Amino acid sequence: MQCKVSFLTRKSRGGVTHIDEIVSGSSIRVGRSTENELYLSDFRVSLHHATIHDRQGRYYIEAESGSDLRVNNAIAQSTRLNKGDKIAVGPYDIEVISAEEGQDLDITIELVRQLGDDLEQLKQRSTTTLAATGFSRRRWSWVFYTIISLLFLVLPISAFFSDAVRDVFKDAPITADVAWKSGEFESAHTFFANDCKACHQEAFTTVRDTACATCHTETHTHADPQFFELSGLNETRCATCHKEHNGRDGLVRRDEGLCGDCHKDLDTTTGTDLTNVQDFGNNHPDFKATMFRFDARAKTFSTNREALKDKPVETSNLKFPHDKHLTVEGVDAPGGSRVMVCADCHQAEPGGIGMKPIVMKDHCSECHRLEFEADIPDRIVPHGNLEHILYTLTEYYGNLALKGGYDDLDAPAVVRNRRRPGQRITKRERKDAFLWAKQKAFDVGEDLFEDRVCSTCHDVTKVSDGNLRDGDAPKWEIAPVRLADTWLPKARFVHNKHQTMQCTDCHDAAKSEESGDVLIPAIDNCQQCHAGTEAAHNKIESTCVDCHGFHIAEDFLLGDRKGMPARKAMSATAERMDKNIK
Amino acid sequence: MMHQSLFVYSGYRYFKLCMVLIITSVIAYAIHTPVDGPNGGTWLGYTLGGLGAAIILLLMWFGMRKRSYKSDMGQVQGWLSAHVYLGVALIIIATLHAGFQIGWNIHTLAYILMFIVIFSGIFGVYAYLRYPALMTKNRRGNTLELMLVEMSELDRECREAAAQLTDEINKCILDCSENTKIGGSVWQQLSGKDSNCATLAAFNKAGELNKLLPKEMAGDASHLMTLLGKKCELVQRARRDVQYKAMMDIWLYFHVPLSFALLAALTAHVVSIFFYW
Repeated sequence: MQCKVSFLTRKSRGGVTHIDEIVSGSSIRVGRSTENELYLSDFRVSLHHATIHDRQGRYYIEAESGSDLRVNNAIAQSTRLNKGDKIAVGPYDIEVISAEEGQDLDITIELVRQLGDDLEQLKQRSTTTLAATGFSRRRWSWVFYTIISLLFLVLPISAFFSDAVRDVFKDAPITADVAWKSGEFESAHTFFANDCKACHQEAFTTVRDTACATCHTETHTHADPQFFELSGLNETRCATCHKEHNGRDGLVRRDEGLCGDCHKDLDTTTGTDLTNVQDFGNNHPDFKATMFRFDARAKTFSTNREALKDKPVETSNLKFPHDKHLTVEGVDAPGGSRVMVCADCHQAEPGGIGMKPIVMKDHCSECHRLEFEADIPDRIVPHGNLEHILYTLTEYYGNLALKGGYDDLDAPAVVRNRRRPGQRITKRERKDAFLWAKQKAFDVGEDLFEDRVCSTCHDVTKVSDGNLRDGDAPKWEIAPVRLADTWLPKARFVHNKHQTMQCTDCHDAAKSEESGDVLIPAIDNCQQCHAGTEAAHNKIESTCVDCHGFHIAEDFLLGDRKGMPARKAMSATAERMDKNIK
Repeated sequence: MMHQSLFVYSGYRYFKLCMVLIITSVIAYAIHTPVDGPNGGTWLGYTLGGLGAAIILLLMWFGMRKRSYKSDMGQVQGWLSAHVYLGVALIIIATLHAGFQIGWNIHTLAYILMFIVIFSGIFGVYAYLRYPALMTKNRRGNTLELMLVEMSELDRECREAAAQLTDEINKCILDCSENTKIGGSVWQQLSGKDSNCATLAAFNKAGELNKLLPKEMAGDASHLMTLLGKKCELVQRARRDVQYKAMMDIWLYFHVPLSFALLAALTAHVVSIFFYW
């Protein structure tokens, strides 16, 4: 067979050139290999791509194995060639110009799919910079800036000013308020603290005391805010000392400056008679005991503060020599001699701070029995009220007198004589018997009060002899007793914390002969272990609030400050008070 | 050398400045004993906070300064030197400002962002010290552009060499030239690898296929393998070049956007402090 082949080449400016060739053979092989009759050089053509056969004058094209053809855009392995057919072989298109039976085949071949520019394609496929991957620093900067500003600036501020915004984000995992929180709340505040507005009531304003006083109405102020109109005191806010956002345990200022800043020169700044103080170790006044002082004329107690170092004497009106009770030989007790210790009478309160009160019934009566007849030790008079004692005695002796048979030579016959059962006594006899009983009761009472029992501990004075005939009982008075439960009420001493010490380390009771002795040690005793922040290294650093409270103005409550007069009015008040002092 | 100048700029001027800042801050922190423990709310806390915020603004202004060629606010090199040293000093100053307190809040968020920004910057310094030299060595006087040109030349040569070899080998070569790419995704650029490298695949496959060729084609086959081997090496070098460049750039993708995140967080932090004064 023979085949006329025209190789077409299109020019860039238009127009087509062609190179014609006549190929012949029993069949015509098409492929990249130079062995082929129809040689197509492009590497995308197989070595042996297809073969054109002449079968009884009809022309067929068949793909070789592994290759395929596209005949008029349809994939085919074999097809008869007809005029106008377009067969794609790799990048070439073969167009059938003429395929008449018995005539030569006439085809054109054109490289229609040029191989692209390798370099350009390689560049297109390659992404060689991070910028080309689509990440933009500028875009991400905007995204981050916007998100964080919205979430952590715009939202919290909006929530502060708009309850609607607040409610919307109330249950969000990061609420506006949580995001701004600077630290854990004190545990007592946790139930409302996530609402910042509860305390921070105004924007760009420090937390006001009124916010605290919403709840803490009953907290005492430090001093009369009008009398002590001191900038250091009245401009001090609750939050100056109570530092919130510092953990569950809270944080309260404890440094010496808390008190010392004002109290170091309080006398010159206020004209007060309070003593200056700055540091427990080296600038603290002597301890002053608050003691009861008895005014015998007015029969009232007043309190008085006296320096302990001056060995002040207290008038409690009770006679109690500690030394007699603490002798090493022991005291006479119902069961025999007993050596007493401090704890027999002084027992700590449940809180461990102070001591339980001393009472006759619990601490004294076991030894100091209020017997009035040696023969009948079980009968005692009641403690506490002299009239009751006289009643008790009168009843007791009246009963004996009426029964008769009482062995007393001075007694009338009706009292002495034994009576038979059922024997009546006359009116006269009954009167005699009662007279005797009263006299007896008064005599025994006098003996009890003045000589034998009561006066052991108490100051007893006979104020009236009475008149037996008129029925007036004689009268005695016992000076009222007032035992101090604390001598240093302005400080807080916790006994429990000092358990490693012996009682006698501080209280020299064994040598105390008088109840007037105040067995509270002076400051130097405490200073053996405690010192201020300017302390020697081997002492316990103790600041003012370790012993003293700040909120101590009894008549002034934090809640009242809401209604305090304006500052100008206060100044006038303070001025007036100031004049009064001078 | 640029990196030497960065550190020793003007007789270690900024190094000295930062050492003074750091030492002063540490000493102040050590002797300051506020009643509520070290925190941002004491006088020292506010001082260190103000200093830290000023430093952050100054560091961020570097981005403006280096783009402004007409500026007469000192040399960019001096700014960069100060940028690096002040950035490192900020770690100490901000930590002391915070008094080592952290929590789930905007304040700690700003602190963490600041740390990421600073450490990405420190990585940037490291990258600028390390990679330019490696890059020069790897390029052997070429540029990436020239490497790509050389690659496409090799593709053409490969095709010519394979023209008379089997169809399978040709297909291999076609794949190699059509599918090889340099770089790619962020991860591919950073790793300098392509697990589906078409060139390497073609090299391996052509090697296998060549064994099946008749002896008379051995010459062509050997020539093809030489060309493919050359391309493999070239592709590897080009990818490494892209990798070095990516390493020198990647930190900026954290450093810059997160510094703006930090700016927002810092603003929120400062506003929140004074808002709830």
